[in-house]
Amino acid sequence: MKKISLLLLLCVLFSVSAVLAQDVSITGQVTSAEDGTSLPGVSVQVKGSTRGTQTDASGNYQINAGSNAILVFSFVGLGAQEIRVGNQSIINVALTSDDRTLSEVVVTGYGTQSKRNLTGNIAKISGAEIENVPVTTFEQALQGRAAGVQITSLNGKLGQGMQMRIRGSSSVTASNEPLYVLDGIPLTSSDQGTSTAPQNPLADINFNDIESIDILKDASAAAIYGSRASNGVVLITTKKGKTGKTKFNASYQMGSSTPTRLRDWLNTEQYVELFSEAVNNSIALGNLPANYLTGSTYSRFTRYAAGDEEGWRNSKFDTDWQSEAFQKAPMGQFDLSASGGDARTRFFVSGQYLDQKGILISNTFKRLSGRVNLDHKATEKLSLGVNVNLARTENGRLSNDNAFSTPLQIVALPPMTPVIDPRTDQLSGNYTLYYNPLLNRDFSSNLSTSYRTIGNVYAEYKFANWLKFRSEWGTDLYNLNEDQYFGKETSRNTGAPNGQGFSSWAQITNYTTNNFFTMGTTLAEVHDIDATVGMTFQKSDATLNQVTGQEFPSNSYTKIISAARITAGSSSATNFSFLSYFARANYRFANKYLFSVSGRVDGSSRFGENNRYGFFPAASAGWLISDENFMKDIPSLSLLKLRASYGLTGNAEIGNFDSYGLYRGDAGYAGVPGQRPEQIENPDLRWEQTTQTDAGLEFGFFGGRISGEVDYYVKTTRDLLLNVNVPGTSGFRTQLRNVGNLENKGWEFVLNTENVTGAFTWNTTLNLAANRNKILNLDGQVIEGGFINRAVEGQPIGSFFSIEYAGVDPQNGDALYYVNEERPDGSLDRSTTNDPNVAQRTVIGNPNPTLIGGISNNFAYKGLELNFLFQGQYGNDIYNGGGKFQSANGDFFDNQTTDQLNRWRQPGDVTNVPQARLFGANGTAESSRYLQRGDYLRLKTATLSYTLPNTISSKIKMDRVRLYVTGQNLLTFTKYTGWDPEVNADYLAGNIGLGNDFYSAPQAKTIIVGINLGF
Amino acid sequence: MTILKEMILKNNMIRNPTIQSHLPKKPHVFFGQRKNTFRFLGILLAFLVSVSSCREILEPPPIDLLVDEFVLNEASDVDAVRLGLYNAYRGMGAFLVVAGDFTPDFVQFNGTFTVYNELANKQITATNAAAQGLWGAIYSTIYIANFIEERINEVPGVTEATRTRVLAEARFLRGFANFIGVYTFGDIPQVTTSDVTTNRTIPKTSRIEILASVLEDLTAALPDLPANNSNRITAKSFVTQNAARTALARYYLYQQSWAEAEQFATAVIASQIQTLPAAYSDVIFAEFDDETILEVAYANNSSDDPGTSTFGLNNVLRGRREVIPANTYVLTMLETNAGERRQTIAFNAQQQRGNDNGWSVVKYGSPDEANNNITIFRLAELYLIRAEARARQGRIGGSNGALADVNVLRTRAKAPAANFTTQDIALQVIERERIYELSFEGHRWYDLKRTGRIQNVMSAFSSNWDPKFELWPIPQSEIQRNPALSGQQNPGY
Repeated sequence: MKKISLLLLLCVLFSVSAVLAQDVSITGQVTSAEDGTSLPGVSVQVKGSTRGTQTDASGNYQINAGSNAILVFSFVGLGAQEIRVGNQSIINVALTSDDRTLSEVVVTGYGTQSKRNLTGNIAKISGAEIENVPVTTFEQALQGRAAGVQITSLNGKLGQGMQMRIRGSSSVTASNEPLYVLDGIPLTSSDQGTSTAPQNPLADINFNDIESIDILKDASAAAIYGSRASNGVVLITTKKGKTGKTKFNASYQMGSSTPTRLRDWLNTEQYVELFSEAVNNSIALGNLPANYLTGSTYSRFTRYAAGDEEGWRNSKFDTDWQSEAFQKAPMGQFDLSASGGDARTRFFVSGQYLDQKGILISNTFKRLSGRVNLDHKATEKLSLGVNVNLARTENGRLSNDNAFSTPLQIVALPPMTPVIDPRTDQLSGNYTLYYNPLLNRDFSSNLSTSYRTIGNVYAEYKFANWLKFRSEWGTDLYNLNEDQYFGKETSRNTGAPNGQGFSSWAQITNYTTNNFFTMGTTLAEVHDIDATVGMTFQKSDATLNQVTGQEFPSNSYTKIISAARITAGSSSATNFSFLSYFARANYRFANKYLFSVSGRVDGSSRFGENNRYGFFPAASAGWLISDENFMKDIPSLSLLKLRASYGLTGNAEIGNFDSYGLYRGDAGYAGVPGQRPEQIENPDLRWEQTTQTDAGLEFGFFGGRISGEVDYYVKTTRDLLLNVNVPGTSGFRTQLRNVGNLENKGWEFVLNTENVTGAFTWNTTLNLAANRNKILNLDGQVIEGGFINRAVEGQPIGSFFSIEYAGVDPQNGDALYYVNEERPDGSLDRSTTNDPNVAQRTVIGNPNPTLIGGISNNFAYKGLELNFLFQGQYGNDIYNGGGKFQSANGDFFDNQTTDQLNRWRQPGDVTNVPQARLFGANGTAESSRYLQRGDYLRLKTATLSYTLPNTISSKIKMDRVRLYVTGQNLLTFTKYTGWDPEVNADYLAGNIGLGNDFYSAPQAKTIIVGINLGF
Repeated sequence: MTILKEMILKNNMIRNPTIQSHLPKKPHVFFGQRKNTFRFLGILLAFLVSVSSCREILEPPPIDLLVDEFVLNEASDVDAVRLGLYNAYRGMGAFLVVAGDFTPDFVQFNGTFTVYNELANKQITATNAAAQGLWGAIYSTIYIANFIEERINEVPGVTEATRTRVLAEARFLRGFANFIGVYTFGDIPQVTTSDVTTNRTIPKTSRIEILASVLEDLTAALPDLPANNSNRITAKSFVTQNAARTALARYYLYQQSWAEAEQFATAVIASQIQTLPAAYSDVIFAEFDDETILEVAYANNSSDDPGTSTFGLNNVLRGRREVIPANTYVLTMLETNAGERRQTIAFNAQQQRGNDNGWSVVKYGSPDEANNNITIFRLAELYLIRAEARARQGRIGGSNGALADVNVLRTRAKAPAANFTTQDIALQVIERERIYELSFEGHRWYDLKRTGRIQNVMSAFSSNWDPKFELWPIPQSEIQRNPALSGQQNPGY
């Protein structure tokens, strides 16, 4: 009986295999589409089965499959291809690294997923898109390339901090910057310098090493990063070696930069005319004595003209100070990389040297970076590898925008002051109206040098085809040295008569380990399941120390060892840790119905002991409508996918010890050290949390020639961390608590089109995003920032709040303001007043754009390629805090913008510029006079390149020769009259300090030429 | 896929052996490795779990800050906490002057800060920053004093002498803080613990009860305090027995208990630990002068200089000149009887324009003159307390009379000797003498209140004066944040 049943079973098995046995043997070769070389180790799989093989050393394979079968060719780093067998017996395949195929793979955090099956929102930017863009840091290169991602350079200083907002600001007091993760390591990305102008630690990254950047935006995508995902997550994946012959890539680019725009300032004649008039007007009003013009004013003019009356009377001196703030700004960059490997070991090695001068005097940036990425397959089951990046960045920095010594504050100097004082043949120094920033150029240095080691090792063990385990151990070591010396010539600025030196070291040691299982299988042909579960731990230690010394023997001694007086010194340290468990499961039914759940349990030293662990779950679903039978009749429709997600993420970028009751050791008394209670403990303190709902539609027409996606999201943040006032009877003033709420709502739109295909191709990609931010609850507080920014309930974060300028009284030239007092009936009193103290403050503008976007066009014909990217934003305002000095109708002796010549002069004049009155404060109050629309559209990057045909390049033993010319910030369209609409004064930039301009340098317009050689 | 199926079956097999028979007996390499695999997984899981069970990894202690529970654990911690107490008490110093001298008839507004505009122009509101500042400083002091009182007995290794003295200092400073609180704000919450939860919702206690606790604290502190300290600076910046006696003398003066006031004043004067320097200018320009009994001490040329803060007296009176001496006050100080004490104020013609009379209070140095200390008690006050107490008891002339004490100060000020014979005149002279001697040391407002003269004096000085200004408002934020104070604002605000 037993035998029979066994026989029967065998029979059944045989018949099953007999059905499949109509298999034919298929052979073929897999090559690289890029250069035609054969690819060993490519996985060839029969779709929906476990049957598979790999290509041999020459890229050949053999597999048995039925005519209905679909073969899947996949290889790390290249786009997978699916080919139906049909009646072919030889199938040769060329794999491309083109990532715009439907099976595009996105990095999801602890794994990857095909874009088709994705139910969250992830914007992917390939490394190729940003390669060789002439900027210092990759965020700048990302501008305009991802929907809903707003990136702002604070000003045109090299190496300066950036602001990135993904789907708006979700915090008021904690960080609004996304979490950056490079090859699994959360990076130290916040400013660690001592200057109020932030420095960007991400500028250490050579972005030519980047394979892809994946930006996780919705809760479903980001929740796997739990308490640090509310601001989005930026996943950076570096390049891996590719099996095949070792390929070298060498490139060099060089070019130079100029300011995107200059402003017009008065010349000596105009200056003397305007200020003489301003003095006379103030005399007429009785505010200055009658002889003030011929006496005090003229002697002042003469003083500013280096004691030479001719200097101002006949324009003997007529200095264009603005041009003195800028320098010739050449740049050169050399990149060399090698990649290759065999079936078992692959490597990618690269090096970069970048040497760039900024457009502002003394501003430099140099980066030396090296990387080794090594992947080794020890056995069929075990693979391991290492990624190491070493970088040294040397940034010649400048004072912050508020300092008299920052180059662009030079524009305040009167034009009759000569650059070189003819009496001494030295730089004009002590007699100038303000400190002359050129003295800093010649007699000071301000170098920030960072030493960065980012590396990890990993091992991956494949227990079975469906189960593997991966363990990653990484570090990010960041050492930052700031070394400054200010010679005695700068004493007017430093207050140190014989020189001042400053040195600081910051060391941030950041360790991470990720350990996780990945499972994936298909059940009964229609149930696709994959899952990830694991843990991660991170610890970061920071130590900082600094010392200031004064009194140096001469400028030959610039280190503090030579300082006669050590005037300040300090050291401090801090740390934090995270311990987390995460899991994700994706389920796909019939390849059409997609479900995903993910979650993370995050524990952190930053959280109070009653809330040490937080749980951040998310769920999402997708429906591939286009795969339904009823849609098959619409041949033009290639993809229609509906997806929705909902989940919870957190913001743990709060203080490291905010939950503790703390004493601080700075409460000395009578010169004896003591300590004071500083903070009440709050054991309930925790992360801020954001729930986000996202609904999206992805579409493709005509075989993907038109594709895109639309998303609508609502992000609601609660438990905002605020300093809440507590009764003084507690012995304290405030306590940090989770109390506030805010909201971001918006939509995103992405459209990719292949307008022309064939020998000549034209592709367009467009992204647009609108976001509305609104603060719902701040416990009744008003938090101020910038000049006139506020965070207040009912308004977007950073709203401009000030009095409203009403123009000029045509009768007497007085600056007028709207009273804007609320009447008992709730209406506003729109009458005007010339007294800014009478006018009531009101919301006069919003620094947050209502619309941001980018459009990129790519034209290619044979080897010739033209690509240009426009980027812009709309609906935001900019407040020029420098306006009250720069455009103040002669209020003080600062040189004025030429538009001030349009001032009111006689009754009946209709103008927006009030009567010139020296010391008259006529219109110089902070008001909407200095607020402007900040909309702009900018030709961000344009590249024209030519790749030599293979026939020619092979003659010179090259695989590839590409010549290109790239322009950055070539054109700007804006109505903003300041230097640059992409601005946020560095010393004020923050969550609330938004959209401010204060002598902030414009962005650089850069043109470079370059060559890439592949061999 | 097939492997998974086998896995599931294999697992089932253990639970439900009957299925086993249906399994195809197919040797599989994977099974051979299974044991090792699971062992490896087991080790891995054990490792991961052990990482997570290590509680410390999520509690790295703050490095340059100290967590509450470690603040007062061993003998060496005591001094740091004690100095923190003095640091908190120092926070009251400037506000005493602001309350005592800016609220009454000494100043006019000359700056831009709302807080001083309200005080000088007698338009004080419940949001006044000085009211909030003083309130905060009082309760910060009380908090640390309570903290010490609660903890010090449990700290091992503290000598009995240290324990006794630190406890006495804590009680003294708490008593003094409550004394200032009750005479500035009226009924106030009496905070007797360091428990934040209790102290956040705490109702007012009657003035009588608080004053009783003040007397208890001061009296208890007196015997345990040192008679003197080793050097000039520590003797005058930390609390001594004479400081406690002065506080008691002032307490009894305010209570109109004349005999006790006289008794404590005499005890201080007779101790001769403090003496009057020959020149009044020492009182104004020197720190830790012979006469000082207690002053709040700043270290010169160090980071704890009050600098240019809103409530730094140097900044307010000399730097920004937020308030300047009122014209009537200037005239008083220019009287012959003031003598050298007119050096309290100085005139600069270049500053005279518009409403600015060109005068400044110079009792506190300019920001770079290293004269930041604020006098709390000095010997001259005790002569004036005793003179008033004696006059009130009907002793005018003679060696035990009021006149003798007044003339001690007149002589030192190189002013003509006073000569009075009646109690009425004596009290008038003493009131004036207190202006000459003690103005801008935080007395005037409190003096006018205790003598009942405030309405007469102040309504003559300012048309904005309102009887409600006899007390400062309870800070608005307190009323809002402490539910037990809701609706408990002082009358009129």
